[in-house]
Amino acid sequence: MGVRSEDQGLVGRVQRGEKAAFDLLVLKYQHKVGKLIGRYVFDRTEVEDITQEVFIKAYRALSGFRGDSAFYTWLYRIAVNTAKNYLEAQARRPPSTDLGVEGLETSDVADNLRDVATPERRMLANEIAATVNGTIQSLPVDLRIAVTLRDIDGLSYDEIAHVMECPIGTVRSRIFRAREAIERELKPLLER
Amino acid sequence: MKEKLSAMMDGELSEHEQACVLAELSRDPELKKTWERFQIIRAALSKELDAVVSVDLGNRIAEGIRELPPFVSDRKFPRQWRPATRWVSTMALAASVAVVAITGVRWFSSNESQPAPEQIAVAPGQQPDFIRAGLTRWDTVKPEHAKLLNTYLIEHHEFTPTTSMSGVMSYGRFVGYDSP
Repeated sequence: MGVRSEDQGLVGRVQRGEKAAFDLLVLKYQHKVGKLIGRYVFDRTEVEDITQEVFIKAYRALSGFRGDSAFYTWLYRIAVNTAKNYLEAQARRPPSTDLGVEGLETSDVADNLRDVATPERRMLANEIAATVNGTIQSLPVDLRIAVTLRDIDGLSYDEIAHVMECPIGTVRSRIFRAREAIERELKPLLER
Repeated sequence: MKEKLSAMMDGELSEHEQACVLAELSRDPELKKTWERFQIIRAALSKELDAVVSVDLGNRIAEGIRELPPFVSDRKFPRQWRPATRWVSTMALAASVAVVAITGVRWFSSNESQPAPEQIAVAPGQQPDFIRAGLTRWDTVKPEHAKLLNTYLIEHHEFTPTTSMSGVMSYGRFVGYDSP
């Protein structure tokens, strides 16, 4: 199952008036949108203000979203336009080149954002990555394979069940147990 | 419930199960934090976690959304009316096109008997360079240009329509050249 259909259920619920479903989309995409805005604006507080504005604009415009593209592609356009408008209002020039959604992931953009992030945030991101990678190595092999096939390779439960030759229910349980184990290690780090 | 939350993150829950999880999420703030941590885990695994935005940002945005008026769908018609409204607008568009086409043909027909001007526009007092073009030959007041232009017409002859329809211009072409 792709990201597109992953989000479709939540988007549909927001369109039917369930604000709580939008909160989940915010929590899912806030870091990604923040990273994107960081290409245009280099002040951390401004990045967060614009990120907030992006999600509020998206919420207001969601009635017009028909699902012709993935939700994130649609959100990406709103984010880029909001950042550009912000720079224009500040009489600052936006970057001369725009990247597509895919291009962003592989560009040097992350380096720009690293400059924006405070040393504490940078350290936190590094610690999270180390914790996640350390914990995943210590997991039983079945859990490790299931969660990596899902979160790294993007396979659906059905495909993972086929690869691992087990029922879908087992896949669901293995992925959850892996995430739960990593979350247990991550929680103290995020609550500091 | 957390297992369902994990499956919802992967888009693997039924509508009914999703509704249950969302209802629980609105009652249990800890469950929402779990959702966020699961997303962070995925971002870290797929190497997308280059920086972490403020942990409070999600709450700030949620606060902002809560202050907005309830979501209003822009659907002006109930779903079952939509095909009917689409049919009416399609018919209206088709009718408009038909009216324009009929009016246009009548207008062209009424002007058909008048001889077509050999030349559309010339600046006052200026002698035109080109008097008339056939399919493969130009008559021009400057013979030194004739060879150049005639060569052009011959080379492009295969792309030139040879018939004309009533009310439709057979073709129009602007030709330019640089003096040596």
